[in-house]
Amino acid sequence: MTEMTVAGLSAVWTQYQLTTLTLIHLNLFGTAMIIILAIGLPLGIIAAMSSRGYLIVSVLNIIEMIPDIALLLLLIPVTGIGAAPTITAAVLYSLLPVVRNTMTGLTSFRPELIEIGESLGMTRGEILRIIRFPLSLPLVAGGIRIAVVYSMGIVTLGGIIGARGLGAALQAGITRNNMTLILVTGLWIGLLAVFMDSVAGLCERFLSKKYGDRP
Amino acid sequence: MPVAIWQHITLAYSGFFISACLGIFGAIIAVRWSSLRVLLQSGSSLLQSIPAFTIVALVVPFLGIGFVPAVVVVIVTTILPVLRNTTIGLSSTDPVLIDASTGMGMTFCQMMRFVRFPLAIHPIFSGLRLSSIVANSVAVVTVFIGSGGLGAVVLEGLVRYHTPGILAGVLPAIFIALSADILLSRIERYLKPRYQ
Repeated sequence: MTEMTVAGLSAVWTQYQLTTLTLIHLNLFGTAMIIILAIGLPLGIIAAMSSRGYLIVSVLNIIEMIPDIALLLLLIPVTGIGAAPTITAAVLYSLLPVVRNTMTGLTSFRPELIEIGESLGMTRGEILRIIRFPLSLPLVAGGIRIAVVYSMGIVTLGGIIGARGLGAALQAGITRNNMTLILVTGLWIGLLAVFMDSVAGLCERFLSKKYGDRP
Repeated sequence: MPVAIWQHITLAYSGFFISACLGIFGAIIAVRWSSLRVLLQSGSSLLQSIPAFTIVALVVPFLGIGFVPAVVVVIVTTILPVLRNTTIGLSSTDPVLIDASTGMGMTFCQMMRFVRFPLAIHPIFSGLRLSSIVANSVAVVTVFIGSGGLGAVVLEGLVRYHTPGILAGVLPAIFIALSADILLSRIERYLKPRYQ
């Protein structure tokens, strides 16, 4: 076990190439988030607009039911090992918060506002863009921020099935019983998750300044 | 088998119930003292960024194995959606209504009870329903620290590589999760304000 000094910590950092692993980690996480946003937001809008929307949420509920580690292992026969199953699992697992919050956000406000929009002659698309979207912004952003934290967790877990990234360093620490390595990578992953969460919060603040219903 | 199902329900939903209470309480605090909001939210994100399986391993040195540590794992893994959605719901009330209720001389608690909570029912339940699903799946994983329940049935199936055995644990768990979701949606419909 290395000593818990600055020199010891930086030795651990360079020995296990944590800078490279962090970049790989963020790459996996970023890819997963882009796919989640590209699929989750449209699915949420569809779920909110159609009367059978709850079916989409039920299917995602069943996927969410599978524990994260089991989901990773179940994907191995389908996608092999490494980055592909990790990203797939992160996407499958984080879709539910995005879809459910988008759906709730787009449907839960005073129905008069829709009627006002209709009486002004707005089309469904305009109602979505001008009324529903600004009002649902805090909740949609909240769902995305939950998804950010969830996918950070799954990408870390991907370390056990050969997706390099910080999970691999954590795994190395656990198998070698290297407490310093476990603490350094564990805390670093936690800090990265909180940082990403705050970046998402800043994006939310920017969007709500630009489009939100109040300053 | 009925014993396993009962253990599973007790484990998942006592954990869920505690995390729901803590989450809603935390959200009220976050709305009352906005300086604590960032602290509470980043604290819960920090906890949530650890995969469930790792938390299962981490609680053992501190709490040992058995039912109570398993409940703690369920609480840690389910609190974030409740806390975050309740905070958003409670703090996104129309400011006109807040002004109106302040003008009527409502105290903070009365405003919570009569204005903020009724208007935030949908976001709160969106978070609660997400958490109840996650609680159910985490309750399966906690079998590794001796929580028993349906996880034990699944694990036995996995060890013997016996697919019907795995399904005997997984299918009741899915059924319980979906029933809990339906139950929560009934409660949501009952609690929502009449005019909506």
